[in-house]
Amino acid sequence: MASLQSIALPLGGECDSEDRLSDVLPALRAQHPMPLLVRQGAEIIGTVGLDAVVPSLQGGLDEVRVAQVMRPAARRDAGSNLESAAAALEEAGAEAVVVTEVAGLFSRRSEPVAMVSRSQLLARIGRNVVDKAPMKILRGHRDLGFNVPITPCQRNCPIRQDIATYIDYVSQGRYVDSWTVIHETNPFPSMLGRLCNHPCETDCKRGWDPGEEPVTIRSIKRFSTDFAFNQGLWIDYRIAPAKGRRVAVVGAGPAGLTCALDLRVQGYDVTLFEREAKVGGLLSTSIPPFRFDHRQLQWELEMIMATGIDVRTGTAVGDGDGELRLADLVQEYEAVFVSVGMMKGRILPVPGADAPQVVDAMRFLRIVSYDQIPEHFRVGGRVVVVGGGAIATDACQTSIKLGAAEVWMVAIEPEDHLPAFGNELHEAKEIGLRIKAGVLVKEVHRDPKGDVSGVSFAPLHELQFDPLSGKLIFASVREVEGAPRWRVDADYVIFASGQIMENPGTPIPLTPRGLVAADRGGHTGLAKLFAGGDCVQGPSFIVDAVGWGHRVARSIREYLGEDMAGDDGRLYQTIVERTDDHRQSETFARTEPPILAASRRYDMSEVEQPWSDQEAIVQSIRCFQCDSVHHYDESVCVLCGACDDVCPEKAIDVVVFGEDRERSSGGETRVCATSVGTPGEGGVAGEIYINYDRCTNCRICEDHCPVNCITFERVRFVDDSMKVVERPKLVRELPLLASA
Amino acid sequence: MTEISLSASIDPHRLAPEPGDPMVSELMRQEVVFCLPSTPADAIAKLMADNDVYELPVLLDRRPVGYVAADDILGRLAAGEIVVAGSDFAVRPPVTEVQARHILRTPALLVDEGQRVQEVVQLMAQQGRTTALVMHEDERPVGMLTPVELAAFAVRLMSGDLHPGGGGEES
Repeated sequence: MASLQSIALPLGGECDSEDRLSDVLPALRAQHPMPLLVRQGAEIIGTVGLDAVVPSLQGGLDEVRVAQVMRPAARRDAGSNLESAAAALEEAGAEAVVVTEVAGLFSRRSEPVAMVSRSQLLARIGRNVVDKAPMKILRGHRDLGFNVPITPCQRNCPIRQDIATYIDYVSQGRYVDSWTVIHETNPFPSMLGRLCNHPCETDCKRGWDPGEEPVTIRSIKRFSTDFAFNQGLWIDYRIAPAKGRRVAVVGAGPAGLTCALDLRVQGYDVTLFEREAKVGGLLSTSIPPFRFDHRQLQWELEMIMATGIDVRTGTAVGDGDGELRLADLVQEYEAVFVSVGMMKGRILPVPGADAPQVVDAMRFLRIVSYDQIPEHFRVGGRVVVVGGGAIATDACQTSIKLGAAEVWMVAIEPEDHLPAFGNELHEAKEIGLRIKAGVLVKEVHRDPKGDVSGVSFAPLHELQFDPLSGKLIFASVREVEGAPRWRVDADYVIFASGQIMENPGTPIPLTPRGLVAADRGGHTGLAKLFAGGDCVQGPSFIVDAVGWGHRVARSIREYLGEDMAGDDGRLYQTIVERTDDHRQSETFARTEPPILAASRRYDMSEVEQPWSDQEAIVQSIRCFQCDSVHHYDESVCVLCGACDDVCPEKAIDVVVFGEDRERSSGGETRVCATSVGTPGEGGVAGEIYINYDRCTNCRICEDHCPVNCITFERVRFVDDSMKVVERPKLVRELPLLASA
Repeated sequence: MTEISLSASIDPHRLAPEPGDPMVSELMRQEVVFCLPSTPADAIAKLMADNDVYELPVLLDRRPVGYVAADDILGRLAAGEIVVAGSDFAVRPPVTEVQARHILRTPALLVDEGQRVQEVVQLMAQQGRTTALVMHEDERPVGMLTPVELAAFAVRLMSGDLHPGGGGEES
């Protein structure tokens, strides 16, 4: 039986319990994984290891004494066995065992002579592991499965939309099927079909080649959704048998609604608390009407609500008067998901910012969303919007459409670095927006009556941007000393200079930046309490919020006892189908949906116009169908290598055992293993590998196969919890897009 | 007229991470040490010891499903469910039926590679965890943050290579 003596190491470095952690850190690192002995006087009172850094880093290691973070030292005689040492560690909550020996022949005193750390015990347990198969370490993209046929667009999508499939269905004219596939992971395709930041297009394989542009994925999604809406279709969710477990969701934005839907479909009783008079969060209160179709949003919200979610609008959760207490919800429900977003605008505290004509952009857009004109906004007036992001652009365009005569967008960043993305800025300029970039707001001027009369700005030196995040480096923000300030006359000022979370109250844990402290799965570390979306991540995109909703729903299901290890949500059936032929893909160029002419964009009409069937099909044919996999009929393939020879992308390797053929594709996906005749008696055996990072689904291999053994197929899982029906007449009025 | 500070004039979410509070991706271990639910306890112990990780993520089809803690393996050793057989000189493989699935803890602590280190440290401290699994936006793990990386970061902070705080935070 193995004894402690056999694995013990000599006592290493020591420190005093009153030492500062910062002083002992170099010794800790040098001796790791063996902890340092902690002495108080002559006595050993514990050990301190590198784990102590975690709880100490926030306050600063200078402020932490070793005594505050050390762990007790377990003790065992040198003759003890490993099991006894492990028990001692467990009993004492220790990270090392101090090994003792009797000091002398006639002594009763034990002296510490050596130490055994957790790491040594683990190493001893694992010393004889011979099967290396379970030894798992992932390094780099190749190991992470980037060489298997998961489409690049799908793996870049925060909600893993099955993009190649729904695009393929559009190219086949199966528009309703396409819309159903979209709905499997996306409850808001009408919004994301117009407003998504489309990370999928960023990584579309079609755009990898120089001179090529990605497929217009976002707009194809919009096309399918427009079709289903115009046909009066509806998704009837099959709700799992009731689990009798109650979950509260605080905040009915995209994250909260997605989570509520996922849980409801699984049979949970979900109650949704929303501060506003309508659900939708920023979708219904912060995005101006000319950017989307309100009727379609209402339709999508109705489909979610019709699953039986208990909606309580006009119900705020927080520590304020008349608000529900979060602690009470935690008490009452079995899990609570906080997804309150960042719905409060930030007004910079410059002189004059307390004037009545100064408003934050979130409030301004919220009022407009209730079909009202904000107080003090004057038709024919002059508006200054401070900020350069998407919300600033929306506030600018909304001001113009409400009748402002002159609208300025003023931002810190130079015009080519403005955070606004897409065509919105260009569209706004076409209808009269003026931009001043590279200046910092300093003062809102007021006339003798106290009303806003103008805003002044300080010019800045050239700014620098972080190459990784693309964001502004604070240290580079410096005013040009002595330069005259730039002043613009105005009678209404909108600050689009950031958003703040409205604190949902105790016991939510916060970060130093004022966000909710939670991990990527929404766990706050507090029992029953989950959080996600913008209130955890900071201001982000709609699709990210939907991703949060899905993730947190999984976390809540796991927390409430469901076994999630083998279950991947509500996807059940597997189908194998032939994919459409997209060989003409290279014939067509990328196009965007048309937009209204500038002369017709001075009201709240939707700017982006729908595609025709023809345009949508042409654009979907541009897709390479990266989800298609080769199917080789192994009973027919003769391993001739023709497919390997003709592949223009060098994506195929035909390996014939015993022949010295170059294997150059880098592909690891084996699609065929066959033999022709009897190997060794004139026959051959071999395998075929594909590199799906290279394959463009051009099907030249299929065309040149002399024995016609290649076809292209897709394997996918179908969500059988959804059924497409006609849109029902609702029996009750839902609080969706209420007017104030 | 009262001038406001520069940091109060800028939306903090538009600023690049500060040197003293970088993104996780700049600091993380660029590999993911993990096991499967079926991995036997002795192999997990070896992975932990070899890689200085005391909370090992458990992945299924490259999707995190939980983690295994070193304390649980040692607990099973103490309970006699892992037998380190043989003398010190004539070793034989340990005998155990214990697999990761039997000592799986949930949830794994998942963080975003774009998240700030200080926020992740707060989460780890709050939840009493020593390993954060860093995820790419495509829901795949791309790295890890453990006390080893954090200690190296702390040394850089103290040596003045980086400086915490400074401008840019909300007023």
